[in-house]
Formats: sequence, structure tokens, C-alpha cells
Amino acid sequence: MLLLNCAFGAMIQSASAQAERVDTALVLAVDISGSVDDGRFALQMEGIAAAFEDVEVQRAILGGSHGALLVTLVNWSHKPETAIPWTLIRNRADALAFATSVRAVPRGGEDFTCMSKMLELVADKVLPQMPMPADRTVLDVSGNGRDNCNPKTPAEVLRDGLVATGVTINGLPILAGDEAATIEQWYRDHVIGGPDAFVLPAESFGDFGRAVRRKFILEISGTAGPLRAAAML
Amino acid sequence: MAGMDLFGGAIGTSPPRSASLRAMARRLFDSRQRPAQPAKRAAVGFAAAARPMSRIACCLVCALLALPIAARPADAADLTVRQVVERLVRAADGPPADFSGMDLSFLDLSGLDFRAANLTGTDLYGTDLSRSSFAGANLSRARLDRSIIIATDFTGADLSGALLRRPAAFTTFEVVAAEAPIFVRANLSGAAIFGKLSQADFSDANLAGARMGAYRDAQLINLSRMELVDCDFSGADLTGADLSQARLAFADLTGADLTAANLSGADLSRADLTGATLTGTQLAGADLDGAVLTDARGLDRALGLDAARNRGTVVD
Repeated sequence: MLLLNCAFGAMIQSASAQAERVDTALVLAVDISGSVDDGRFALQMEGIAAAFEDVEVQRAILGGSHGALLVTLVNWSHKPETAIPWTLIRNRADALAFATSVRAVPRGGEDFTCMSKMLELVADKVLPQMPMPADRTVLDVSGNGRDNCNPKTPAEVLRDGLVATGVTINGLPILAGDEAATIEQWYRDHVIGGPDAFVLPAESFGDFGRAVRRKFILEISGTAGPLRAAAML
Repeated sequence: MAGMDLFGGAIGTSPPRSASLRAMARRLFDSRQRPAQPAKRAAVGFAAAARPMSRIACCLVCALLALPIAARPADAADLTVRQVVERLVRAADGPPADFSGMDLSFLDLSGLDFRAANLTGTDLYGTDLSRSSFAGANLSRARLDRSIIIATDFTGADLSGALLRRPAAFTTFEVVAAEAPIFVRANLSGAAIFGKLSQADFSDANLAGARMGAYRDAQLINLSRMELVDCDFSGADLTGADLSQARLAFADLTGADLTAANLSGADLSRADLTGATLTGTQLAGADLDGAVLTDARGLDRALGLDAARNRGTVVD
């Protein structure tokens, strides 16, 4: 254990020396529409915050060749907005500070679940503002409902546009509410895409923390390939 | 160009390209508005065919002029949202982003940082600017009519001669302080402003010659009043501004310069004008119920004070 901590400490030091490029740029897009009440919103934010406080997740962040991660939080419902702008994580303190910022995000949102508008925001405003290049760009979408906004451009068209620019879109459907039985397949058909894209469902809002932690490790460490292969068997 | 029937052409200070499009549209609109005379036409019958060829040629020209407008979708701005963002990102390490004279109408430009950008004469009609920052930006002569300015920050921006009519400053009909736009130290001299901007912060702004008076519809029936309830105008320069009929109840006008401003018919109930300059200010018909005029300067040279309402309740 001591050896592990020492190795981890050395990794943090070497990572803090670098900053020109990151291993992964991660966009966390969280559904805060009408079906997500205050309690469910808090569970999602707590799940993300706890994941960034997790040693395994931190190890995944700092274990890449650049030892750094860019992350931003987008909350989406009727109108998506960037809740936390691009933040560079290159040591444990950065990860903990980000966790604190996530817990402080106020509850906003409106009734509708406008997946397309969120994808537009990511394509038009979030990704162009990335402060430095990344080896891998991952959009991490979570939610418990399909797009219900009669969008001008369907989600899958916008998904394909993002994938064409090299973005991987992963899904974390929350199997709760009216669409619990169908939402996972809808995410597979309309949301995910790109290299090694995968769906990792949460069984409930209470299960969100477990799912998001596992998902982060897979996304950040770039080991999602085996999971996808297993899922396709 | 969509929306031109609402305000376009009336003042003619929007960007040149938009102005020319508007002029073309107006010609087309006028030609369509000419009353048809079916009875007369029926009587004339085939005689119409004998009309001069010039008339047919005129129709053809009109149709050709209409084509670019008809083919132009409502959201066809000069740039896409992504292109705007890319310009802003590039400007972070170089000279300020330049959008002067461009048509950015109807785009969703919310949540962006336009600080110090050049938007001189830019057409922002119907554009969503909510929660964006224009601090120090140049928006002189820009058109912001019908734009969405929820919590938009215009601190120190140059909005001289700009058009800001009927913007949406609140998510619902309810006035929420956190959503009100910010115009602290902004230059709004000569700007045309109309709509509901209650609780907005205009402190230390330059509003000299700004046109914020009541608006009467085309039928001259309905009178719409500028909503500036509980706004902060402390230290603002309002010399020569038109605030006739404006709702300024509970407004903070402490230290404001209202020299030669038109406040006739304005609602100044409970407004605080402590230390304000009122030389030549038109107050006829203004409601001064509970207004505070302590240490107001030039009050003896204010105009129409005798005709102001509830003068007896003024706090001197």
C-alpha cells in the first residue's frame, strides 16, 4: 500500500510538470430536466464529485502519457448551459477542487429533455473553447429520457457530426421513470458513437455514483474497448 | 430578412447590408400592399394585356428583387455560432474579435464572452445574448431589437446610437433581479431603448440623449410605457434623455444628471432623486408620490413642476 502511494505521489509530481496537452478532454453532460427533482440532481452531482475524489479515478486521470485531463460540466434540459467551464486536472488537488465545484453547482433546468440542443451546444460552443489539444475527446451523456423537444436537427445527426470530428460519445442512461425499459436502447441507437463508444446504465438514480465512477475510469484510462467487446458478445 | 416588419426601416441605422435588404423588402411590401381592384380589372378584361410593357418589366424586376429575400432563411446570419465562438477563442491571444457590420441575427450567442469585441453596427436582431458578457465591447449603432438579454453584462460597453427595443430581459413575466441586464458605466448616448428593463443597473452610465419615451402603436391607440421600475441610475448622465411616460417607480436616481431630460408623465413614485440635477427637466404630469428630492439641484429651474402629480407628498 505504501509502495502504491509512493508511486502515485511520483506520478502526481511528474504530471504537474506537464500542461501543453492532455490525454482526455471530458465533457460531462448531465440531464437536469423536469423528471430530475432536487434529490435526483443532488445524487448526480454527488456521484460525479465523489468520483473525482476517488483514488482509482485520480490514478486513471494522472496515469496517461500527459498525466492530465480537461473536464467541463454541461447541465441540460430545455436550454443547455455550461455549469463548470473547462478545468485542467493535473494533480490530486485539482481533482478535489473540481469535486468541490461540482457540489456547488446550483439546480437549474426546465421541463424538457432537449438532447439535440445539448449536442449543438457541445459542438458549437464547448469543444471550440477547449483550451488545449487532447489525445481523446469524450462526451459523457447521462439522463433518464429521450429527446422530447421535436428538434430541428435529430440527435443522431448531431451525434454523427460530432463523431466525424473524432469525438467519442458514451451514454449513461438512468433506468428510472417512465422510460426505464427503453432508454438504454434509445441511447444505443441515438446517442453513443465514435471509437470504443459504450453504454453503461445506472439501475437507478441511487446507482448513479457507482456507474459514473466505473465509467470515468474506463473513459479516462481509454480501456473501454474490452467492455464494448464484451457487451457485443 | 425576418422581423423587418417590426422595427426595420423606421430609423434606418442598422448595418448597410441589412438596410439595403430592408429597402428591397419595403419596395416589395409596398407593391403587395397596393389595393387590388378586381371589379375594375374584370371590366377591362383583355384590355389589360395592352398595358405598356414597362409595367410587366417592373413586375419582373420586383420578382427578381424578392428572390434573394425569399430564398434567405430567417436564421441565415453571416456566421454560424461555431464560427463566432472560434473568432472569440482566437481573439483571446490577439486583437479583439471583429464582428462589425455583420448580420448575427437570431443566433444563440448565449453564455459567450464578447469582452472588448468590436460589434459596431452589428445586427443582433432576435439574437440570444443571455448570460453573455459584452464588458468593454463596442456595440455602437448595433441593432439589438428583440434580442434576449437575460443577465447580460454590458458593463462599460459602448452602445451609443444602438437600437435596443423590446428586448427580452426576463425568463417569464416576473421581474427577477438576478436576470436583469447590467449597463454599469455603459455609453448609451443617443440609443433608442424601449421595453421592460426593470431592476436593470444603469449606474454611472451615459444615457445622454437616449430615447426611452413611450411608444404608441401604428394605430395610435395603445400606449406602451418604458418599464424602468427599481432601476439603478445613480450617477448616470441622463441629460436631454427622453423618459416621457416611463415607469421609474422606486428607481435610484441619486446624483443623476437629468438636465433638460423629458420626464413628463413619468411615474417617479418613491424614486430617489437625492442630489440629482433637474435644471430644465420637464416634469409636467410626472407622478412624484413619495419621491425623494433631498438636495436636488436646479429644482427651481425644472419645467412643469406645478403640473406634476402628488407634489405634496415629495420628500424634500
